[in-house]
Amino acid sequence: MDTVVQRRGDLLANDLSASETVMLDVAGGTYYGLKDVGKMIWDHLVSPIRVDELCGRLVDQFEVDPDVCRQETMAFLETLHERGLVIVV
Amino acid sequence: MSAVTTDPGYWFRAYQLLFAASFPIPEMMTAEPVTADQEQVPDVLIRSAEFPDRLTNPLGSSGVHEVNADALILRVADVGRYLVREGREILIDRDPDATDHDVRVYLLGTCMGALLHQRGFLVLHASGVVTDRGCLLFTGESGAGKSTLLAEFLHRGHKMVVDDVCAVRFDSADRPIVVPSYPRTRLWADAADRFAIDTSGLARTRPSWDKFERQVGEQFWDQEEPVRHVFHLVGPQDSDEISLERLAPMDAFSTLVDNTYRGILLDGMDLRSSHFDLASRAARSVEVTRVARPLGSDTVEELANRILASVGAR
Repeated sequence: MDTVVQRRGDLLANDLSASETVMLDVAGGTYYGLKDVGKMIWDHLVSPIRVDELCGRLVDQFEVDPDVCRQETMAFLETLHERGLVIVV
Repeated sequence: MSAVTTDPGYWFRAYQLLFAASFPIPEMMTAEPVTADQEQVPDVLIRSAEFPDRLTNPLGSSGVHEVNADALILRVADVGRYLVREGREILIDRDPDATDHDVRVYLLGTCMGALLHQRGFLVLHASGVVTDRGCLLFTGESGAGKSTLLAEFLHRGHKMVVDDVCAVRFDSADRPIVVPSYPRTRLWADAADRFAIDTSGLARTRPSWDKFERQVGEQFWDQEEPVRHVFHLVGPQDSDEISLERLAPMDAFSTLVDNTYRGILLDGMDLRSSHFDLASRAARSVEVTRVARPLGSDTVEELANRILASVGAR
């Protein structure tokens, strides 16, 4: 939970609406899309953030159970990491 | 760039650009001829010329093309070679056996698309008609019914602003605007039959392709027009009725990317990231609707009715 994560710096990202964003990995030529909670988490990753700090903000935003939030956030971050969209700082 | 020192002979206007060419291009609208006391400088010069076989630093290539940030070389067997550079010039080194018409098919297709990409437009594979609710663009794979739908709108008296290579720019308020192309449409023989259009005197787009060209004359809309709606036609579905499904912005974005004209050239033209911005901006302000029609029934009139009703247009 004290891991610090951040968006990969060279990804291009554009918001399409308040709840949807698209990203382009120029080097890989791949597009990604995030919406709703995924998009909100992405918004928090604009600068380096500790995972527990991120979870804290999400618990405040969504009034969800902290354990559930942590579990689902971790799973989501792992997916982003596997695809090379976030880096561990 | 070589300066234009002599009048190349033929002047046209298309995509709000002034073209000068060394041969006739009957598909385009003729522009005012050069007057003796006033030198006219074209935005784009099209001429026959020899040029090197290769680009010095290609970023992308295939058996038929080479491309970099400034130029595209296209090679078409039995037709010739084309060089499109800096959004300002198209050189053609034609095969001695090529017909004028064949030369223009690739000039007005891939080469025009590349030129418009080079000039910074969002270039879509789309046709467009004008309604009292702005321009409606139609995209879709071949066989999805795009030509037939366009023919139906023309039959109803709507004006056509573009067919095939569609250039979109953004105005100062970031609204997408379609730029008028030229008054020619292509239609498949079955669409022509349906509307009782006599195809016997029309040029075929390629020998053996059963697709015909038609000048739409007064039914061409030569003004820029805001685009608020894109209708993406998919192939016939196993269902009883026409369905219109408004896409969420992310799917709208994907549809615009997938229907980018010659999108395969974007990486080689070093335009992938600027195109990403253009497609995102368009997806923010255009409504994209997926249109599916039932298999095996003639529904084009109903399709046009449904599309017009969905945007509140007549």
